[in-house]
Amino acid sequence: MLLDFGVLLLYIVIACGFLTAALVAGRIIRPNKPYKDKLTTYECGEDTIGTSFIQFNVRFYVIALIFLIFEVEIVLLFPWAVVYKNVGLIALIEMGVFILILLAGFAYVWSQKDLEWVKSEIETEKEHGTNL
Amino acid sequence: MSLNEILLNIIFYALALTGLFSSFMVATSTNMVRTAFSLLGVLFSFAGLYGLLRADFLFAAQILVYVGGILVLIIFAIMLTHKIANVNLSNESTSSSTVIAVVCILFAVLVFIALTLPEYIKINQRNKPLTEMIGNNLLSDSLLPFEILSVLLLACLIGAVYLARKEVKE
Repeated sequence: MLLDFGVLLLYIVIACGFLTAALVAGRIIRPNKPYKDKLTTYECGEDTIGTSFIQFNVRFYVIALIFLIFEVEIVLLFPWAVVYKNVGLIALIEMGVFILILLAGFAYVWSQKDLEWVKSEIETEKEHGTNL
Repeated sequence: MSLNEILLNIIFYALALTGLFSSFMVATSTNMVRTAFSLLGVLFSFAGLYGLLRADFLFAAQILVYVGGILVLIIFAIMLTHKIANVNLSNESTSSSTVIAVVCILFAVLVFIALTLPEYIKINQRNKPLTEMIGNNLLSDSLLPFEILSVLLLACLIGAVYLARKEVKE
């Protein structure tokens, strides 16, 4: 089993090695003639304004939170999937209950329109007016 | 010492040093974004250490949940900060005497555990993936805790979404 991790490590090391080799070779081979226009940040041909540190929409955070909960669920599915064939019906029922309970949360989130990216301001006001 | 052991030792010390260096960066960097990205190194090296202990499920869970989930959440939280342009001032160090005291106490606890409980930190000697064992356990002895876990996750989901939803109206 440790050998499997060894293979994984070897893969990571070779991948990092290739990347480093390509970057180092590029640095050695390429001519180095920088000037002001060349050093500006490339943004699809537009002139950039301000810093790259901008405040993100809070909606990203809500989506990330929901994602995290369901990711934990997926991680717990792996050991279940490994033994599923040996245990049979009980395993299916158990995981069915597990997923159903979390599905209730998903339904709640969906019905509260937290998954909708574009939310009109009137709707936000109407639904959460008392909370704000 | 056989070649195998030497190799394992080299990998262990490389991982441990990476973890130490990254934790040091997390503790000392005054830039919040850099702190978050140093945390990536800490979490990855810990995943490697779990792999070295042959804890395959922990290894996968560490990378999937901590690196892929929680770290992204932390980075989002930093990016959501209102005055993100002034990140330099957001993470001032606490006084060094407090830090030294806390670190000493934690180190003493760790040494105590390492010396008194050698059986506690047992490497998986069976050389067999642990995921199957965990799966069997989840479906027999730990069946009820497993189902309760789903209720806990449900509570987390609803609570987190409810708290995060209170956005400021423009």
